[in-house]
Amino acid sequence: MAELELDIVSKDNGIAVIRLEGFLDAHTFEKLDNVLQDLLEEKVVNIAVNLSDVEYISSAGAGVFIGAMAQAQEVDGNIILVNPTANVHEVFDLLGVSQIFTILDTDEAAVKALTR
Amino acid sequence: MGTIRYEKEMTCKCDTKNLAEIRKMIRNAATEFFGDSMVVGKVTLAVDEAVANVMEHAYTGMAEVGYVHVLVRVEDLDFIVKVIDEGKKFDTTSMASIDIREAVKNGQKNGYGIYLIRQVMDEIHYNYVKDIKNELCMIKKIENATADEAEEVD
Repeated sequence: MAELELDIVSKDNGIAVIRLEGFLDAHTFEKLDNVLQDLLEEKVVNIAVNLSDVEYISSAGAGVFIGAMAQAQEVDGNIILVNPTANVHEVFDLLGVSQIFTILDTDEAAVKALTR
Repeated sequence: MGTIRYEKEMTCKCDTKNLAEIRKMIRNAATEFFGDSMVVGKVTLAVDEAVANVMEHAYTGMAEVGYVHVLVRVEDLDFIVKVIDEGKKFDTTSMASIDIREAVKNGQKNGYGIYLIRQVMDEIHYNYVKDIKNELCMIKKIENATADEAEEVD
């Protein structure tokens, strides 16, 4: 498996769906950060990130989501995390990330929640 | 000194691409003593945070990229991991605690590593050998880990 595969599955009406595969650590986090920053600069501020194939996340990876969420919220946007694995969820719990993120089970549910 | 039940070590260049290999070593060791519990992932995370910190900061400003040495040892019921570098003197344990709720709310992107290490490990010790090395020693009690997990399941 590659270190981090990142695929923008869709990008319509200001809503993007991203699917990640691999691990998000101090080596790979910048790849995700760059994509999220590009989307935010394009005014795509509602983003669903599917984490079902992410086997590991460290604070560097979680920090990308935390920072991007703050930026999105400043312009009335939102980032929804989709179906994180138990290991990834555990790190979110340790950091208390669930206080700011909605976590849903499917991309469809996330897009629906982001559509206002 | 107690009975050493397990010992493995690895030395690698301070390049974050080596983090995955170090995590693999820690995960394998932790699985032997913590089974398939969530403790394995937590201990792996704590070590990853400590090593990443060394890789990113220990040799900043120095002429050459240095090395990090990771030792995992189980002594009696202590799962011990030592992270050793020869970079600038830096006592990770002296870092102030962060207000995690405020940091997350405010969108702080980094600085969570030591918080996670403190959350996960039972003991953290720092030792500096003058002009030679930094040594961060982290201990997870195997009995405690099992009990913690049982409580979570309950």
